[in-house]
This record gives sequence, structure tokens and C-alpha cells, in this order.
Amino acid sequence: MKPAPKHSSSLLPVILWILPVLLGFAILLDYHTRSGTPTSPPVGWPADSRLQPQSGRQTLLVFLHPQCPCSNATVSELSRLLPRLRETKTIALLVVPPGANSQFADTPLAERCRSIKGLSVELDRDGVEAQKFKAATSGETLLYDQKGLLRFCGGITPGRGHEGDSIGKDKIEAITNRLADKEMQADAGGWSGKVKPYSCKVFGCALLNDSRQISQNAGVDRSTRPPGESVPQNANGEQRLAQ
Amino acid sequence: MTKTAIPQIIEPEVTRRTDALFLEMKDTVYKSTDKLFGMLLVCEWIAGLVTALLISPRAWSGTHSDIHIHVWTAFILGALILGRPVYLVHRDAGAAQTRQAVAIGQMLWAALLIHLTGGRIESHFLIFGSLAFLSFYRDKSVLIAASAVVVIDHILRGIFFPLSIYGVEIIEPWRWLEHTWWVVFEDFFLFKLIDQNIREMHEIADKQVELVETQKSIEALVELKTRQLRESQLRTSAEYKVAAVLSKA
Repeated sequence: MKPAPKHSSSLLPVILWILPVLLGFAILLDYHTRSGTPTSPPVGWPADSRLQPQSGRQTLLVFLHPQCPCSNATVSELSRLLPRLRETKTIALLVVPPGANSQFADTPLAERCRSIKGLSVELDRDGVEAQKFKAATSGETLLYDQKGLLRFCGGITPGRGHEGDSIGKDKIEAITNRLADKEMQADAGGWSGKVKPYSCKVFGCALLNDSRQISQNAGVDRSTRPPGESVPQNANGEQRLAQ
Repeated sequence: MTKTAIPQIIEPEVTRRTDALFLEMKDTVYKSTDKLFGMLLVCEWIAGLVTALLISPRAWSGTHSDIHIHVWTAFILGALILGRPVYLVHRDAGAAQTRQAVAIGQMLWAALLIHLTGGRIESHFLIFGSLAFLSFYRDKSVLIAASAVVVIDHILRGIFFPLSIYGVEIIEPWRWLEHTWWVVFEDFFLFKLIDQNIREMHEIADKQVELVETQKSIEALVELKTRQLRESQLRTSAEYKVAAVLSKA
């Protein structure tokens, strides 16, 4: 005669096995959906920036930590986005934090950036530009229009280290291709003088040792919806663009 | 005369021997497949750890870096997922709970891989490959347990974090059904294959018992004939001796 199956005795070890596994998955999911420190990018092109936007063209800035493994997803998405953008100068800034040596930016990520056609790659020594543009997280993408006004800030990946369609990428494509302009102008009550930049979350490693300093100043709201308040144009940015 | 001397095969005894042989064959299959999976699971754990160390060894904050969560995931979560099945394979190979643990562990590992690759469709192939590999057990309950893990995972992550399993943020509510359909599709054919394998194992057991019994019958017959021959020889020899004595006399 066969012995009766021991259901009760075999169930407990299974539960004790599965519960920590589920907890591990939950921690992992939390990590991949946790965005970087919210910051407030300048609504106009910073006057003291050494970067020169190209006159009559939009400028897309992507700040990257050269060692950040999660930013490979950003670079992959950027390489897919670039061919779809019109009249846009795109610059990838490899941020070298203060105290890092010159080899810090010699990474496969930097090589990947340099291999992307149409992407200008520049080193941002000591994170000077990152601080001027208030970029705290690797993958931070800023889109400035022809007049030097911020039209988008945020990330172009749907999660940390995750490739795939994202709101940020769609918005950048829509804005740069002038599909969103009418909508945004209507929202802002007209084009001249007032712009509502779109913003969304950024996923990646912190660019600098202390990103809290960057996030202190108030500015663009990091919700997925445009902020309600209007923002004045930056006269310095227009002057720079006119040069 | 000889017919009655040959041992007759009793039907219930044959059935008992056939069943015993069939169970023995199944046990051999379970144990050998357990060993295969034991090695596979350890290899998967090492491969996961090496991949994490190569692709994302550290998470950065400026110039400061820590071990990346993917490395911890591969090391700790991987050990948690694969530890129980590997332990059971070594301690209790051939047992039903070992097979079930292997099936669940293998599919949880596939779920982890799918998550870490951001729901890439290519990593879903591991599910289908694993189902095929699990069919080596020739046990439908193993495939059912594995498929249940896949379906529950697709439903739950589809609700809470679709990006990690489908690679996109917004999905149709029935997307899990599409994935489930393909799993059921594969299961259907694997079930057929398992049925066929079990039938063949039964036939082999039948034939083997029949062969053994036939061999025993032949051996008994040979023994009987040998004995009869020896008796006949003795009888002939005795008769010859008697005849020789009589002729001399």
C-alpha cells in the first residue's frame, strides 16, 4: 500500500522558498522604477555655458555618466531616436566628476556614443556643464528650441537600464518634428514669451558625487504633465543663439 | 510430457513484474534528468553572475561606486531561486518534489532573465526551451507546474510592471493570454510526446518481462532436456553394460 502524500509537510518549505524570491523580485522592480534626483534645468540656455547651440536649429543635450551601466539603454534609445529627429543638433556630454582622472571617460559607453552617426560627443570635465544645466542623473536629456528655450527635460528610457518605448522619447520626437508645437503654443496661450516644457523621470546613476546641490533651485516640475505656471523667456539664451 | 514440465507464466505475476520494471525505468529517467537539471541550474547561476559582473559590475554616484544591484541579484536572488532545486537534486533525486522544484526554479530563473533584459522577446525563448527540456522528465505535472509559474508571472507583472516582461509600458489587458496561448500550444505537443514516451516505456517493460520469462522457460526446458538426456545416457550406458556382461556370459 502506498503511503499518503505529505502535503502539509511539503508546502511549508515551498512557501519559505518562494517568499524570499518574491521579495527579491520586488526589490529589483523597485530599483528599476526608481528615478534619479529631480532637478530644475534652466528654462533658457545658460549664458555662461561653453556649449554653443547651432543657430536656427534645436539642440538636444544628453548628459551621461561614462561608467554608468544603466546608461547603455539611454544610448541605445538615442541611436534609435536620432534618425527620426529633424533640424536638431544632438550633443552627448560625458560628465567627468571632480576628482576623476582623464581615463574616467574611456569606456565602452563613450565608444558607443562616438559610433553613433550625427551625435556630437563632448567631455564635461568636472561636471561644469552638468551643473549649469542642473543635470543630476545620467540619461538626463534636455531639448532646447531654436530660440534657446527649454522644451523638454527628462529621460528617454522607460526604466533604469531598460530599453523600450517611453513617453520621453515620443515627446522629443513630436516636439522636434514640430508636431507638438501647436499643442504647446495653445497650452501656453501663444508662442511669444511663454513656453511649457514637458518633463518626465530620468533613470540612471548620479552624475556627480552630490546631486542634491543641483536639485536645490526651483524650476521645472518633474511630473509627466507640463507644469501649470508659465516661464519667461531667457534673454541671454536668445542673445547666444543670435551670435 | 515436456509441456507440463515447462514453468507456466502466471498472468498477475507478469503484470506485477511489468509494473515494477516500468516504475524502475521511470525512476531512472527522473534521476538522470534531475542530474542534468542540477548541472544546468548551477551553470545558469554561474553564467548569470559572470554576465552581471561583466555588464553591470558597479553602480555609480559621481566618482563613488558600489556593487551593482544586478550582481547582488545574480548572486543572492539567483542562489535563492536555484538553491532549493539544486539541494533537492543532490538530496532527493527522483522524488516528485524535486521535479516540481526544478520546474518552478527554472521558470523563476527565466522570469528573472526576462526582467533583467527589459522584457526582450528573445529572452522569452528560455521559457519554451525550458519547457522542452522539462519534458525530459516524461511527467505532465512538471510541465503544468512550470506553465503555471509562467502564466502567474505574466499576469502579475503585466498588471504591476509590464515593461519588465513585455518590454513596453502600456499593454492590452489580454496580452498575458497571448503568451499563455503559446505556452499551452507547446504543452499540448509535449503532452502528446510524453504520452507516446510512456506508452513506449510500457511496451519496453512488457517486452523485457516477456523476454525474461521466455528466457527462463527456455532455460528450464534446456535443463529438463539436459536432465532427460543425462538419464537416457545413464540408462543406455547401464543397458550396454548389462548387455556386455550377458554377452560374455
